[in-house]
Amino acid sequence: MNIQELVKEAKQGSAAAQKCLFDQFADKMLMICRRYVKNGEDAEEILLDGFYKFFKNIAGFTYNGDAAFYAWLKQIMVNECLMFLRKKKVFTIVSESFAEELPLEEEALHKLSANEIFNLVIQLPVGYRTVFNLYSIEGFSHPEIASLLGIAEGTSKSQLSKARTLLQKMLLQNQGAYVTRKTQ
Amino acid sequence: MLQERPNEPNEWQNRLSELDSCAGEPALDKTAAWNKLHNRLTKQPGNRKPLWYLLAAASLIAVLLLPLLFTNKKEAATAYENKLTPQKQLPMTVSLDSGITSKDHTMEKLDVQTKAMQNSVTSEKTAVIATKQKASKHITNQGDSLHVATIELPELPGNIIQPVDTSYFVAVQPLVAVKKLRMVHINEVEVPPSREPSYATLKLNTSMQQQYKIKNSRKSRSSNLSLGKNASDDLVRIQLSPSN
Repeated sequence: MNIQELVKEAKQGSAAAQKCLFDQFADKMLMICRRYVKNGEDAEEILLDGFYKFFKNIAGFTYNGDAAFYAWLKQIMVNECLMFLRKKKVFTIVSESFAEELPLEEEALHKLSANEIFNLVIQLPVGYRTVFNLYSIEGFSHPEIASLLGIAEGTSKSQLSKARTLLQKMLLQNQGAYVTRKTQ
Repeated sequence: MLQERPNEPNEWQNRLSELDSCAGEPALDKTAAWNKLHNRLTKQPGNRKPLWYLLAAASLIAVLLLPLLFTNKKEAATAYENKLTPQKQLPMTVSLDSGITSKDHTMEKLDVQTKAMQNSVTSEKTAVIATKQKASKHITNQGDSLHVATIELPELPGNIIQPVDTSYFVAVQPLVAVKKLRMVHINEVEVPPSREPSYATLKLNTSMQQQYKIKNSRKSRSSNLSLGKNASDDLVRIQLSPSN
């Protein structure tokens, strides 16, 4: 069954259809949650909360393609992650002066696998990691990130700049290991 | 170096978003996770009791408890009122004791009454005496207040002016140790010389106190406490009787 049929049956309350959708998207959604929340158990809780809200509100969802469905489900998960981080009060970031936006060496990231990028991202501090995820991966702008996290736009930019600086440092540190792995 | 464009996904971003597992990390237990989710989704909302049920129970409890609260309040109010009501005032007559004079205005009224009785024929005196002798309770004198008892007046002869049937009420002090006094007729009472009261207030200046201390340290004490030998000294002489 394709996603459209599963969504249609899930709207009618079919537990089997809901389970199929869960099995199909649970792993990817969990990795998204892990990028925001480092702890695996917290990420699982957020995953379940996200799917719970998804199935509760699926009656109001209009299927417009698999990409739209995936984006909608992903947005739910990201919001759940941000709510979780807000509860933990990790966004009590002191407003900092605007830092120069340092461009990240994209070529370095292109050379890395998804797992390696993932491992680099989760090593960032929570504030840097969140802003980096929202800006570089999810595609939000700085004003949108500022409104989502309740911080100033300048703070968002400075956090992103620091995240990039740190990522570059980690890339340089691991560059030798990455090169030897590729040559092997 | 390429700058990231937020609205245009890059290759590494696409790869990252497609990632469904991480090497070295335990895989998600989908069965257990689904069971948890399914339980949450299928949780019976009907387990909660309807609102009307709770309201009915609350109103029933209130109806049962309110009368109890009101009765308790009434009992408390009546108990408080009983405390506030003054004690029963006893009608008062006086049997004059030797040497005791009272400045109480009620006493003055009774003196008038007794005088009126005395001014009549001679037999009134005997009637008064008879009434006093029949007094059943004693009088104590405590400072400025009097605790008096009732005396029943016998029937007087017809040629005697009947005393005004009035009653005097005074506040009754609580009974204390009663000192029995000898009952005598007023004519037999000899007004004693002005005597000093059984107690004295001692007022000394501080300088006098010091003088007393200095003098007392040099002399032995005697049963009669004398604060100064010479009458010229401005000190108070106190003589305490052996019985006191």
